[in-house]
Amino acid sequence: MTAYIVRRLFYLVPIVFGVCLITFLLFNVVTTGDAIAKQRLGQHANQEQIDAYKKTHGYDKPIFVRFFTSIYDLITFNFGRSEVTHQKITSMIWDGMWPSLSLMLPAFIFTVMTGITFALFSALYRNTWIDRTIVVISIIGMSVSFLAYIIIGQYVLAYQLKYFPVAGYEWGFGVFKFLILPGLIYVLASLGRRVRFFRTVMLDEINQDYVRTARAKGLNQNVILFKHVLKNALIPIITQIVVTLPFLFMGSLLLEDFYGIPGLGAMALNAVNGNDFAIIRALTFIGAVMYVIANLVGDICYAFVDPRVELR
Amino acid sequence: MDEEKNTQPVTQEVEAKPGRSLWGDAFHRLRKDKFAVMSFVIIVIYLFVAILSGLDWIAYNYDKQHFKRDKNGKETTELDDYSKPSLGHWRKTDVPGRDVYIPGHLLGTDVQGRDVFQRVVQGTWISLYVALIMSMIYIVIAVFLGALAGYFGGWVDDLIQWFYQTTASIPGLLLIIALTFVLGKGLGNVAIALGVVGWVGLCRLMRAEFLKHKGRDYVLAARAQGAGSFRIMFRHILPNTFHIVIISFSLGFVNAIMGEVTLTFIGLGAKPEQPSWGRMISDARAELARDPAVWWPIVGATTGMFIVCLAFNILGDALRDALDPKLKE
Repeated sequence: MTAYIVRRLFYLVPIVFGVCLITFLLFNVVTTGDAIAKQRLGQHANQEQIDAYKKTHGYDKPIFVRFFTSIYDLITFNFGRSEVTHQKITSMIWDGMWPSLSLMLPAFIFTVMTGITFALFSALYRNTWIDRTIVVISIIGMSVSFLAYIIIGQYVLAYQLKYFPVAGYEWGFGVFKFLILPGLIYVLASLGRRVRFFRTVMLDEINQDYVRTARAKGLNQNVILFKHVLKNALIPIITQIVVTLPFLFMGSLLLEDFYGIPGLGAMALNAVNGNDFAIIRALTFIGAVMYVIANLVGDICYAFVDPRVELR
Repeated sequence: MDEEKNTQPVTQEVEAKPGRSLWGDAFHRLRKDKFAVMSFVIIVIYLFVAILSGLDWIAYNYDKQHFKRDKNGKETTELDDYSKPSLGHWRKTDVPGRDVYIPGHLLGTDVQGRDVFQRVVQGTWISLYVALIMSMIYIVIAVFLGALAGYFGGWVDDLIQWFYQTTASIPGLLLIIALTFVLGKGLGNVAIALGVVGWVGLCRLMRAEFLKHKGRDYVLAARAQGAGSFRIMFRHILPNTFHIVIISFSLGFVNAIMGEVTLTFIGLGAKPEQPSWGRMISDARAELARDPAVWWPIVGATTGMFIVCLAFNILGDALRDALDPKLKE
């Protein structure tokens, strides 16, 4: 087991290197220091200002030196300071992570639970009107833009009916009232996609031979569904959940902007509007590293959960 | 949406009737699916409308919309901003039976007095434009790399797998944002960025298909006759796996339309004067806060988007069931 984990850890090296390479290429080769300086300083910046910017941000050094310093900076999590607020980026990310998680984690757990419930219903009553209604509503839900959900939800439920505060955030348990509406909208907007995926996974399992065998030996439908099908369907479901986890840390750009939640999503949006390249670079890298680690955790989970996984 | 057939084990669905090709069989199955046929008709109408408005034959584009008709039906430069949706009305004249019909704005007007309905129609062209650019880019990258990886294997496969795993690791939205920093803002660049980011899923599928097909008899026969690797890959194997590209295209269309909305809201996509659906939905944030609230632009754009996305979702599903039942999600 330990050997397996160590070997999987070594697989991470080329991927993390690749992420470093792509981030570097994006900000150094595809776009040049001059272009970045011009966007940061405005169209009317003179040559001295541009040179000064390039010097402070290391763009005057040869490309190989820049490449290795950038890799070193990224893997030691030394992202420098924001180009707009001049705060340390690592502490900004640390502070922004918790509001994002406080919104996304409960909403995500609720979505998955509800999604699995609906999918089980769908699978249990497959090809009846119950199943068809669930599928149709899921597809209808998937066809509306996330932004429309947010804007209409905020307008109707918060402005007009005043069931929820319009926007805001506070530290501590009082935050609950601010998180219900954005959480609800997240659940509404993403439930359709989840239900459809879970249902597909379960129907795939139901068509397997072992289910036919179980039915042939006289087990009742519920035992088959909950003991056999659900257990096996959990494997692809866990994969999907684990791969989504990094996005919970990164928060949601749109939700956080509309509901005034000071998380990483709002931070990314501010960085885009303020041309803050340092923050975009840091968030890109951290998101990628978390995704890679989540995949690793997913694989290790398999090895524990599923005896059929070979530890190669 | 081919729900009736799910009682059968999935593998039996694939088998085509003798004497009918895979495509003929799929067409036959699609034709029996009412929802799929309806979606197909909606998509054809959508394409038709989008191309006509792209050519400026219907729905004036934004710089031609800066006028309003006065009570005599003549164009004036005076603009009527945020007028409510109306079907128009009959204006009484002195002569009985000669009342004049004054056409109204079906979906009202926006901040500059432009007809919202015409802007929604114009939005069809912009969504088609974004989706086509995105699809062309990601399909070419995905098919080419997937084919190379699956067919050649070895170090080529390792390299391409490394490349797509790396791309998949980077959060998509942030990569798009970084790319538009580099390419510049605007709808065209957003479409390019969406394409550069979106190829991984299809590439994975194509790699698996090419891996499966390269040992088949028809490939061996082609090679025995002296066909080169690229000829085998793109003339022999690709046509046999092309249904996957079509399914991916249909479902990817929705992603392009949704992506345009998000990126326009962030400020990377459509400019304020461009009549894209994303622009109209983004502007609604300020418009709903007005008193009385201006709800018609967001309702118009969301409805237009909803119809098109629903049709593509249903057709994509039906295509998947008809052409490749094994390929679910």
